Amino acid sequence: MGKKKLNISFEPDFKNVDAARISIRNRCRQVFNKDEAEALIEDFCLAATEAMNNAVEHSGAKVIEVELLLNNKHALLRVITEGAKFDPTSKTALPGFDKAGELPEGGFGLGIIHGLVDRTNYEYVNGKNVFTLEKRLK
Amino acid sequence: MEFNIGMDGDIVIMGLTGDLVAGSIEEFKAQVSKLTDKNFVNILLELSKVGFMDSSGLGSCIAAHKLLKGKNGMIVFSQPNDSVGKVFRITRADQKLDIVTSKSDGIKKLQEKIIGERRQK
Repeated sequence: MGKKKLNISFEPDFKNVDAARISIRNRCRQVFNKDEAEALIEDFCLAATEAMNNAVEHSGAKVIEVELLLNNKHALLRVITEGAKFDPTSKTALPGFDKAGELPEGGFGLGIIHGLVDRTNYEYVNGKNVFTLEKRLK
Repeated sequence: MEFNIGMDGDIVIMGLTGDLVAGSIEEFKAQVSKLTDKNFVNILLELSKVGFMDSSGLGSCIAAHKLLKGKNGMIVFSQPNDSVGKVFRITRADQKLDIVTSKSDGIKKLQEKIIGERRQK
């Protein structure tokens, strides 16, 4: 079971997100066949990165906790932050082109998450925001 | 993030090595700014050694595209790997940005743009 659970906590800095992503990717590769699941693992890592980036940028929390749970088929990631409620499910559509036909420079994160994972869930429990992502990797 | 900058005629060839993510985009934006300050506005951005890109990295590519377009320049993105290419695709940025599969195609595209401008003058 040791390989199937990973807990990370870090201060809100984007550099720490990079390190967390590498740990998540490595743990997924240990559990799932790299050749068969690599593209799915990369999608999951991108979604995880967006969720952690959002927590760094918007939560105001002093510490960001991340839990990764793996079973034989699925990966589940929880991003947990203390602080005021936020709703990561409120803006799920990817931004469109503006009147000049250009895309904006931001606002893609939640849309990417919802496009790449199978399920998301948001809870506010005991003063903590818990954003959960789940994806089948096999 | 590491940068490698060269010239091919009037075209700046900027190679990136590393991940283009929230933690590294300021370096990338600063490099593009330095080039535009010196009036280098036609850039080939080689992405073959970029292993991973998040939405912040994508935003920095869109920002560079808008900045250079506003200066009558152009940025062409070459050889993104599958993971980076997917970010362009799922966000539909591939419909707006100039993305090519080889360095030579990118140089050709930029040269055609520069030659076209000279003819108009």
